[in-house]
Amino acid sequence: MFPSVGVQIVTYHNDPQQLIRLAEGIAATMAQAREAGVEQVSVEFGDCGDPASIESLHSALAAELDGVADHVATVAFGENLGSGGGSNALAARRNDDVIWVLNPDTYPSPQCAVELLATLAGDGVGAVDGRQIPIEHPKDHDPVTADTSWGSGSCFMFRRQAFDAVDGFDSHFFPMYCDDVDISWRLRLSGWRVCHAPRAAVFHDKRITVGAGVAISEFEITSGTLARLWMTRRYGRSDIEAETLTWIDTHGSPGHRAAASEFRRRVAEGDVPALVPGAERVAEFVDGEYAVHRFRYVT
Amino acid sequence: MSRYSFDFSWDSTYGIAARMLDDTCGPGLVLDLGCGEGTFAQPFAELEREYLGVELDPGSVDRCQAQGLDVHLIDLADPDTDAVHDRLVELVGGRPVAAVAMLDVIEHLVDPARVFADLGRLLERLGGARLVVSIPNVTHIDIASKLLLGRWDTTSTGLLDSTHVTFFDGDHLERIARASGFVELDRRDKQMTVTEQEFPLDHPAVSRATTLRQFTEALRALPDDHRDTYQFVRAYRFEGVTPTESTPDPGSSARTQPFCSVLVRTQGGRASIDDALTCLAAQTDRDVEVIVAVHSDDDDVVASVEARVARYGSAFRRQIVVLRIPSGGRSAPLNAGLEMASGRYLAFLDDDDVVTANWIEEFRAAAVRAPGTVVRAQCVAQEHASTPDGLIDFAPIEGFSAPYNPEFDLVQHRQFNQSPICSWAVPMGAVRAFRLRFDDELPVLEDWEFLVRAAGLLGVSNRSAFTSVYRRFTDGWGSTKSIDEAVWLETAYAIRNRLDMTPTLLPAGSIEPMARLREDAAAMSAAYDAAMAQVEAFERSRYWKLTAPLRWITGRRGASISLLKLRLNTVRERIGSERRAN
Repeated sequence: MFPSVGVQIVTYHNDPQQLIRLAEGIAATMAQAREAGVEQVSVEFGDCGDPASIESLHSALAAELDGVADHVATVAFGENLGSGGGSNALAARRNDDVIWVLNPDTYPSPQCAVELLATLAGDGVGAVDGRQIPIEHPKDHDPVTADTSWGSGSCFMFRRQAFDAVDGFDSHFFPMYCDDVDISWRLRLSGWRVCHAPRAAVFHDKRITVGAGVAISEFEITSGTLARLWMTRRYGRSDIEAETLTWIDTHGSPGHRAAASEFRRRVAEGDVPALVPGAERVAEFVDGEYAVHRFRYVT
Repeated sequence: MSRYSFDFSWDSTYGIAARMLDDTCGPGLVLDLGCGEGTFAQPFAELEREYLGVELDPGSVDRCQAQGLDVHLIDLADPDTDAVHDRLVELVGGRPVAAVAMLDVIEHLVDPARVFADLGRLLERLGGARLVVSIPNVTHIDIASKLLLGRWDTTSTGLLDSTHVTFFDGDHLERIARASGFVELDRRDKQMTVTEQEFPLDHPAVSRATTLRQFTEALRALPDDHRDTYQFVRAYRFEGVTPTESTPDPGSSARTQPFCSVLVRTQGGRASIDDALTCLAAQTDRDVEVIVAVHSDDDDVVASVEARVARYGSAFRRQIVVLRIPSGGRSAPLNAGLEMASGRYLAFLDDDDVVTANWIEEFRAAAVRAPGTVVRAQCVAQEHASTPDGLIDFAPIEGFSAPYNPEFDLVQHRQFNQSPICSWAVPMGAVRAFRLRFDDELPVLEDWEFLVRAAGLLGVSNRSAFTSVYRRFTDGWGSTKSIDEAVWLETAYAIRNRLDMTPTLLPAGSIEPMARLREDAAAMSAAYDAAMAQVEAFERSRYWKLTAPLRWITGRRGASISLLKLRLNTVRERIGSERRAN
């Protein structure tokens, strides 16, 4: 078992009650991890929004984690570093053997940490993600080896050694989306395995639309589309980049168009991501996704 | 003769009370307080018990004495209770007293709590005699039904005797007796389906032929067993008031209660219960109590569920109760939840279903809009199958589908269920008021049958948000597959027929859609008949007959016409099945 685990959550104008509930969930699952042999537990909340709000929550969060975490911190970044940038900043503050990134809108099941750690301990495994409920992520994984194309950043656990080896998340994916796909593919290019732990259930507060699909906000559309264009450039798929831009110009929503124009602006300024060497060995662009999906949700 | 002069029979209230007294109370005399014309003395000659009566009306006393009965003049309403008791003790003269009887008397006295308290003291002075009472039931269907239509018909005797000053329902009597220190030994309530209140005969509240009366009869049967109770006939022993006891006032509910109790039904074997519990822990509205009902008689199974529960965070864990349900059918754990839920509402989550973070929040919003109704939100279905890796039991194999009507249509629900058990919650006030229970006799569909009954009485406050995922199993996990299809159909039709045996209350707007369906069906049927007539006319036509040899040669004799008729018949069948389905 890994001696120390650092749990880190990047927050941005979150509901205080949501964070306190999350702390309760982390306390319970890390208590199980301690029973399984983890010796040191740290939990850090890094806030990209209003500095006063996260600091005012410190005592309530620490109270939830009392008796489980050796160290609890609330860090006000004072600026919006984005999800990847925030995670990197929190990771840099510590030297725990394991980095566990959780979204603020999650709630781990009691066995979540133990199951993630068990998979992470596998030969060559650099990162592992959990199984999301109540809306299970449809990306596929190998039923025997648990290997998967990428892990979801909503509940993503890393060996520090692996995380550091690829310099963590690429903060160019601002404010969020696809930074988890990107780090997964770079880990795999570096020889690490990325796995999925189906027994590590984690609640992720996603909602179901009136059309029985998964709810996606306009922000998610813009941010996700920009991230997608970034991914095509980074992993050498100019064909998909061109196809995506053409589709947006013809059919795109205002959110899509905002993403395309931001992407074009960055390209014009020469702010383009470097091509990842050997990209074709790991990059999977399948039907608009980054992995084979077992099924599809309507959006 | 007084108006309270009755002939004795063993079937009458007095006969029932005498038999109960004789069975329940020990040896000794019967002290009859307010004995009237001494009717109650008659059975005790036969039962060989001494009888002592007291009465306020001198005329009655004289007539009793003339018959040779041991009856004396006493005003029980005399404020000097001690003097009354002294006199009674004196009359008893040291003989053992089996019971003090107060038949049809208490309702004539203004302060029943005081009467019971006084009786307690008297029983103690008489060496632990029992108390036997008969008291009319003011909630009898004959009164309830008429009161609903604005009638309160007092009569010279009976349920609404014009001299009654206090009125009792079953619950009131129980509370007042308990609070006064009495313990019930026996009850043999007199049932009567025809009373002196049966007038005017053609009144819609009175005539059993009216739909209204049939509906109120069915309704009045729900809250308690006293629809037809004419008189409460009870035997008590006096135990004394213990200091902790107090009279609870049903009008006040000071107890803080959670908004919602959630019953998690599990057989204990599925790890998926952690999915369900984690979803509950992550609710935006955590004003809940979680009842995990483990339907198993295996200690190890129960222990494994308790161990799972123990792993949750302390605040959430304190909101969870684990219940062991060792026996019974599918309804047993659900009914256990109904028994013990302390929330204003009760929702249900089977251990293989999951919900979004706003599940409780949406139920609350629906309850705020229409308090006391069944609350409902939308539910998606998702197909699952066993996983090949065996790491977990099952995984989804499709996205979401929305197979259920987003609106709550009671008529449609009477045909088949459109609301999985995880998509609604029932108000506990109504559960108690109507004694709502899941039918344990049903092998399946117990949730549907319960919902339809509850929704029919309460109505439904419906939300458009999707908050639950009903996991369906293509390979044998869910009960749909593990139970024979024939059992389902048979049960469904049995439920439908049973529910249709009593009148149904429908919410506004329920009839017009049904009327339109009938119109549509009639139009489709007419269109079919017209099409078929045309085909048959063609078959009889000269052209068709002339070309017959040609068709014979080509081997296509009548083929296309037969095909057309076949198609039309398929259409007709479809119309029929649509009609059945709607």
